[in-house]
Amino acid sequence: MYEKRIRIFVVFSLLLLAVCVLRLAQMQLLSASSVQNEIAELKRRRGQSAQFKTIRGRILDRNGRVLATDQARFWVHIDYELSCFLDERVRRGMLLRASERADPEVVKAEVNEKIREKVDEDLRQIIDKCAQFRAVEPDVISREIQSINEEVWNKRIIQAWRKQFPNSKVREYYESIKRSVPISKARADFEQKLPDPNERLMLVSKVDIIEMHQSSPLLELKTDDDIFAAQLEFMDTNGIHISSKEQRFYPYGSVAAQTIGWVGPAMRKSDKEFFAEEKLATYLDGDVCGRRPGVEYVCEAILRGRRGEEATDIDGQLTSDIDTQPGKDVKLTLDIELQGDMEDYLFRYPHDPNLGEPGISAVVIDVVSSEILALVSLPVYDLNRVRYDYGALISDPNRPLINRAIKEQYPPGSVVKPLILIAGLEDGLITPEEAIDCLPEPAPVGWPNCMIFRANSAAGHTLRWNNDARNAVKGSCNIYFSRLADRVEPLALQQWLFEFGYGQHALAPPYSIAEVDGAELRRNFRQSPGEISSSIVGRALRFEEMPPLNPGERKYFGIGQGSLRVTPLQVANTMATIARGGVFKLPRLFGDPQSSAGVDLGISPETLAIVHDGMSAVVSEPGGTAFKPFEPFLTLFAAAGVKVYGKTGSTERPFHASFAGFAADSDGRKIAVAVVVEGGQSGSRDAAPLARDIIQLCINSEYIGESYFDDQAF
Amino acid sequence: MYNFLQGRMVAVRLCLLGAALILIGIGIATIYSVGHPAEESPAGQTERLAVFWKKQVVFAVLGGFVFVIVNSINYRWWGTVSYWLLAGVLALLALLLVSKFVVTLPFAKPINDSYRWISFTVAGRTLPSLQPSEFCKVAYIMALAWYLRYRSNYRNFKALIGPFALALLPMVLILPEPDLGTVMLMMPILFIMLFVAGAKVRHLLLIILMAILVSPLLWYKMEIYQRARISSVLLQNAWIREKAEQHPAVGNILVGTEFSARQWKNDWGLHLIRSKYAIASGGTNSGTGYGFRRGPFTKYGFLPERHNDFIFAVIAHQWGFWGCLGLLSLYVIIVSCGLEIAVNNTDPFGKLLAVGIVAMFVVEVLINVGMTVGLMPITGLTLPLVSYGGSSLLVSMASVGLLNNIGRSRPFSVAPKA
Repeated sequence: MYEKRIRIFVVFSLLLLAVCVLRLAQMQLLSASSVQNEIAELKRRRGQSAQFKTIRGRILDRNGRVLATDQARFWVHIDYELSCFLDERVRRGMLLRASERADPEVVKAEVNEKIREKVDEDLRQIIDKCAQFRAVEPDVISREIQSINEEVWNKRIIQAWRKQFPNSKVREYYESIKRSVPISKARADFEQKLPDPNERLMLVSKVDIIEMHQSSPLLELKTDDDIFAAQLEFMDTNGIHISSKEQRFYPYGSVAAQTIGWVGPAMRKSDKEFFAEEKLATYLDGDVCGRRPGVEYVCEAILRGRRGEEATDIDGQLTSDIDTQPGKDVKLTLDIELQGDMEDYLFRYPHDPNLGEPGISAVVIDVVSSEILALVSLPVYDLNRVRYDYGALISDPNRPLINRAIKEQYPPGSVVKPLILIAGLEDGLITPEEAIDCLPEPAPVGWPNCMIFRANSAAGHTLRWNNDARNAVKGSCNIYFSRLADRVEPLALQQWLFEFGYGQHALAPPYSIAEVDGAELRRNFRQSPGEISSSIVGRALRFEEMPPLNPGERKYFGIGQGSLRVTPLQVANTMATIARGGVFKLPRLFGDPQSSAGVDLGISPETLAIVHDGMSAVVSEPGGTAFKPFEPFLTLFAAAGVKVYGKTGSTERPFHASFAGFAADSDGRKIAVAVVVEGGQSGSRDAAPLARDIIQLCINSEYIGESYFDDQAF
Repeated sequence: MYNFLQGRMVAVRLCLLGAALILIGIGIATIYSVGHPAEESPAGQTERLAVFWKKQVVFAVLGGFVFVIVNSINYRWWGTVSYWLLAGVLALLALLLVSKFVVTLPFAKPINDSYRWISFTVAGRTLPSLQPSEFCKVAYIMALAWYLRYRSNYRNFKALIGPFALALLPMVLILPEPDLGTVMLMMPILFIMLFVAGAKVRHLLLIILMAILVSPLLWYKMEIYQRARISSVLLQNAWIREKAEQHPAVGNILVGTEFSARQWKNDWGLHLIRSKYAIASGGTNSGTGYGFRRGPFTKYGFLPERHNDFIFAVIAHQWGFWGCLGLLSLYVIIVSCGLEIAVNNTDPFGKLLAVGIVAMFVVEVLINVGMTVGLMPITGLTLPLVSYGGSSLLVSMASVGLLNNIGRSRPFSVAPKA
């Protein structure tokens, strides 16, 4: 009996032992087991502390000038432990706490002495020195220190309030919507629940948070001399030290601000998701990422770079040693000097005083390569200060953060007329010789009047000249173009506008450069597609998906009004397309080695000749809508070998003045230009002079024609 | 006193003793290693452990004396006093309960909220504390073997009440201490001894069935942490954790409260996770481990109780898979020798005592190793002869001594074989 049953017991025990041994073998010897994977992960996570910083790539313009780069910047920092003495609440809190001690009078006297010493001696000295450095009144520095104190004090209030009332409704509410509690709400709730200010002060005074042991930047040191001087000045000062910080620096400040964009701390979830999969690129605390909507944001994948890593495992063994991969540079097609000159010029131009400081947008495209040379949106802002000024910028009624050239939608007004003429001629609905009468009489109800009639009820284009195709463009005749547009099939009209780039995103997607660098760009600029339908779409659609154009609206489309909306870049690009002889290309902001051939719209040379003739007449023939502003410059342009073609535009609802056109020289170089002045009353008065001078700037920058300066040198 | 090696089966008993001594040596070395890692460890992580190896050496020497004392008297005499021994241990256990539920006695103060230890202070010096539940194991095995030496005491179902009463009484006293591990140990020993003694299988199955039926009731009477420890065997699996978190009902069954994977990782499952990491990382160097006094789990205090309940994990960490195999084979030697002794003894008491002791080793080792690798719930069971702990070591040495005693004596009731 015993032996048999012992044998069963032995077999049973051995089975269990075998299970344990198998489990051990699986855990220890099988490198694919889940525990082994977890350990590898743990080891790797520990090694992360040995990672170096990323180096962000630069942004360059077409000539290699640096538009954005990382730069070490030196700052004088002040410790909160010192700066807090300037805060009257902190001082009161210290005294209040002193009065709770066993021998309050003695301690109070000590605290008072300490406060006097810190405020009257240390801080006073520091404030005076900083004021000297910055050449400002000491009050300015005091206020800055106070704002540092205010920030920390607010954090302390929140902390004290959370600790005292952990279950408050306010907190629950903000947690439920996953937001942090705003200071005003916390403060209000705190005051309501604890009305005694001394009690609150006591609680806040007792808070101890990490920010209270940190320092804040107070004074930026821009030159080596400044740094040296500051080192000498603050050498023996407690609570003050000088440290450097890598910072994004934009040498051109405000030039092309909306296009370049800026960087900010990567804090939002959407930011952090971007490199979540890539260990050496994930955002750590203190890392920055591009903020919408500029190149910094769009090209994040190229600019970001990868951290180097010296990974050590849990025992301090070096397991991997990866060099830092600096982010790659991004080269734009912009000419930053031209862009800067244009911004400067447009900003200073003596506008009609009624306009105030108008929002202006201007685009220059190199016709042959379809590269954007300048993409101006006024007003601008300083990229180096945007992180501090963001609050003011976002609430600015002039909306400086918007990139007007690609995001803002305007009715094109008369600058659309060349396209209408092309549509009419190509579809055989009119001949170049056919005239449409523009008589000094009101248009039928529901039809637009001609501008010339509205200015003078005895005038009409037919009285001036034979109102045929080229003259209608020259005089910008509303009667001619509304009648002509009304002849074109609605779908055909939409098709023509679409083929010229209206109703679709104009800016070439930046993917082409991404492929070159092996990085995937999933981001694009914020741009508007415009509207070419009777109903508002608000996003880019394929042509087949477009809502229809109401046939009754064609007459307004003919003069660029109604619900037709376009961006300045689109307008400039239609001009580039016309200048190119009807070959459509998307305008590009990034250099592209494999420049696409474009799409030939199949416009006959005869039609193009008529349109070119009309657009040339606009600027160079008496009676052309832009003749007056261009007349004094025609000889100068001719001397440089440049011929200008253009079209003015004015819209009333809303009021905008615009000019679009192109300039060609004898070498075959061409640039397309578009200018929109918000609130401008007349294209010929408010926009054409600007375009004229932009062309002048392009000649100076040798994008077209021969510079007169060269001539003068001889 | 010096003649404990004399008698029959010298080779078997020498193997037995040798294996036991090697295991004690491994234990002392490992306890030393966690107190003195090869690389300096951060302050506060090993200082507390630094002296334990010395204490263990003292206990090992004491264990040697116990071994000799146990062998100085024939094992049958131990049988005659076994009821009294058990009664004495039960009285000590009762004192602990008094300390817990009535009034805290000066010699039975709680450690970590557990009333398991009795310690006396003599002339201002605190003597090493004793753990009555450890002694209870061997006293219980002796009493059980003594009781089951008569066939009539287990052949019918009613007679089984006796052995079960013998098992339940200490269990009831030990459970509230709380000491789940020892309680979990006693039932399997009882079953193995009953089974080997020849109890009817259908009776045993019937009892197991009853236990299974009652178990849900017990489950719901358990504390949350006890339940969490047992269900951790399942909860290691990420899929089950996910389900338990998604469905509150599942979580409620498993741990008796809302289940949170985060809490599990930081609290209930912490020992298990760390122990598994320690063992799995010992797979380095193609399964030979980090080496003596080396490795992160030796250097840092990641693994709680690494000198005690989880000493197997540290051994696996330092010596790898092959080291573990070596350790386990030493236990296999002890068990084989014990069974050899049991088989060669014709006296039912001697046989049953030997089997009971072997069963104790088997169950302890399997549960301890099983819990460190995540196959068994984590109960405070030590690895016999290796883990730090005076009472445990003394009891284990007494058990080995008893095996030796049984092995060398020739029962008078049987004529020598020709």
